Amino acid sequence: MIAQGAALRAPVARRTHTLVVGSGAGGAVVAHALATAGVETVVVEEGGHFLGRDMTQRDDEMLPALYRSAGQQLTRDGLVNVLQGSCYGGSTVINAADCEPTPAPVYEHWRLHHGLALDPGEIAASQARVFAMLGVRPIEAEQVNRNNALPMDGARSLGWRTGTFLHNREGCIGSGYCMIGCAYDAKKGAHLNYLPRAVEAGADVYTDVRIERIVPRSGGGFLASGFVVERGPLTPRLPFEVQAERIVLAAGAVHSPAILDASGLARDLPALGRNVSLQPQLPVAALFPDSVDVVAWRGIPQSTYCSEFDANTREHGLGGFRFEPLSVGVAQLASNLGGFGADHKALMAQLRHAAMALLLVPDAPSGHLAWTRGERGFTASIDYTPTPEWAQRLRQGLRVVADAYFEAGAREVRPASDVFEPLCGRRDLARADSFPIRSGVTRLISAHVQGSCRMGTDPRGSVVDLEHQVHGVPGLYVVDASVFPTSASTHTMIPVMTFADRAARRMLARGV
Amino acid sequence: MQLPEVTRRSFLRGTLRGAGAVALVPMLAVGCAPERTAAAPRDLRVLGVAEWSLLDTIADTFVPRGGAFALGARDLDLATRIDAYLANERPEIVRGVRGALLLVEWASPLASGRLGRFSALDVDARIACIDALRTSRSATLREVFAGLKTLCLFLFYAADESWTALGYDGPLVGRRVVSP
Ligand SMILES: Cc1cc2nc3c(=O)[nH]c(=O)nc-3n(C[C@H](O)[C@H](O)[C@H](O)COP(=O)(O)OP(=O)(O)OC[C@H]3O[C@@H](n4cnc5c(N)ncnc54)[C@H](O)[C@@H]3O)c2cc1C
Ligand code: SF4
Repeated sequence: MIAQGAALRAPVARRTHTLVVGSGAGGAVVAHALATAGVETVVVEEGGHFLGRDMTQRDDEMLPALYRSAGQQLTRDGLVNVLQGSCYGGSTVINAADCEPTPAPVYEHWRLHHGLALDPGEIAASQARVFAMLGVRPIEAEQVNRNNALPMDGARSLGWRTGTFLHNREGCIGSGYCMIGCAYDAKKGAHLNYLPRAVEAGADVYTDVRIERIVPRSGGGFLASGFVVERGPLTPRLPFEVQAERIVLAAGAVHSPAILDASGLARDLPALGRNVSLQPQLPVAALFPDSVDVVAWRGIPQSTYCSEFDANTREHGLGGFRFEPLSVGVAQLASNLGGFGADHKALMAQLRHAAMALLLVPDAPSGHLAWTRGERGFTASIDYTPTPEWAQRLRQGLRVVADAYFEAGAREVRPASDVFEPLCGRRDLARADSFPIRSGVTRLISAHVQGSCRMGTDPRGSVVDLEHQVHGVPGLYVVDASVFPTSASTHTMIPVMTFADRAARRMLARGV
Repeated sequence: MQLPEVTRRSFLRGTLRGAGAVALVPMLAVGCAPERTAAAPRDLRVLGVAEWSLLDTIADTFVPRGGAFALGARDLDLATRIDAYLANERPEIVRGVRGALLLVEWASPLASGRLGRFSALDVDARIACIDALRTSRSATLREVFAGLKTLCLFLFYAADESWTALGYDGPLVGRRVVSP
């Protein structure tokens, strides 16, 4: 059964064996594994229920419908726009469908520095199941649009390594709207596989329901409480309670720790909300001559990458930087281009000839979170200051992206900044070294927030153990992007799902 | 990719609390002479007439008529669209926008070395005021620029009317598309 909040007319009080909070990459996979194994499972999701038929391909309608805070969640200083999906299927509904497993050096790093002695065979089996469920396959050469091809041509001509992503699309017509929901159900997010199959197996899903607090019950198990919320403003409509033997928090890296915090568990978990990675990305636009029609908004938005500058090691995990073309809607793009007034209009008039990419720079987990709880739920305060070392890699990366664009024939390269003058040719590349990284002048985005409930063996430095169970609270689990000790991958959906598959199977194997 | 940072929450923190602007908000109603009251729609949902009028002037500075293409903010009645958008926003965000308007009205002329109110200046002086926010040393004023810019540009280019000028043919849903 899938119950949408608007259909609920009276307070809800339920019992179940397992309650899964959040229906994104982590929650959907756990719910499916448990339900198909015969475990009575309830899933609650704060966001609404949307399928292809509901997607209008309009930024102004879909961002508020599918994203946390309509896509406006920012770090405390406003420097980084922290994007998260908030709907049935979570961020898998609005992501770019790139499927990138956790690289081997990252697992090595976790084993050496965080005590994560994970069985490679078990991980490989989980990942294989995830790939099979999502139908992961290579993007075909003819699916690569000009926006993705141009800078890669430039990169290859400079002798750099490039690649084409694996993805989880089937029947894609290349409309270009992946990041505001696929109207054709061609992008196979969790709302189209794990969740409906969990429901077929007997799981009950409630959308438009927010869990705010969990209390252990004296006789064992937990009482989780929250509200059925009004879609949009997220104001409470009706009380909602579930008694469960087990709770799996999968509300994402910003909100799973918020629920633990609101449940009074922070005192015994000093690492809660700490060690947050944002893996910020810098949007970069490049203008090509009028003879080059890029038309970035059509085709698969992200299909290629340049991995020449990856520097992944067992010492620090992910490192270096990579750049990946990506196009977004015209309204989103407009606010990324520098300037205003007549100059900005002149730029927008050349949009057909503009290419866009993201420069992705993995970071050390240095951020931390705090929350306030109000009528509309949790508001997170995300404290994050990039390190000087990170800033240096970003500037180095900007030089590289610009070089690739110039090699491909661009006449101008514009990183998302309101004060940085465009780079107008190779003679300007050295200016990338002074690219300013400050709030109000630079626009960074994060699509991979991770790490606020770090996995580890020591409760003083981590929140969950290797089974995903919260230290000292048997029966309470966190299974989402929160648990990664450091950034898991340049793209985190497959890593989250792989961990979730492993976590659920471990729960089942232990008979709990 | 950058999604809309419309009415950034940082308005509230560093920007408005720091500047004490929220406390000044009531002044907006009396402090700003509504220049274009006649054009203000009757059914504003969030903003007062004076606030709408000021926002209309700001929007016209961010997206003026003419230049690379004819359409400007006033052709779309962007200030009214922003008002409608704000109706679904959290109250603290709305307060943030009000504070930002106030800072533009009073602080941006000073930042650009002028006296008086933004809404009373001529077009060139208004451009200079907005530009002074963009390059300001104050993080608060830069945030005001970034937030209002995003609010205006996002909603202007989300409107169908703006797409022809960009060569963007709009959503495909409802159209016949041929699967490869
Ligand atoms: C724009 C964007 C593009 C991306 N592109 C890619 C990509 O191409 N490839 C890739 O691998 N990764 C990508 N990612 C990242 C990837 O999708 C996420 O890392 C992954 O989905 C995170 O999984 P999760 O389970 O932690 O959280 P989510 O998938 O975000 O799910 C969490 C869910 O919990 C719900 N929730 C939160 N609080 C509560 C509460 N109190 N009660 C009930 N429900 C609650 C939320 O509404 C949300 O739906 C992208 C992310 C974004 C935002
Ligand atoms: S590009 Fe393909 S997967 Fe993305 S929205 Fe369009 S049809 Fe769907």
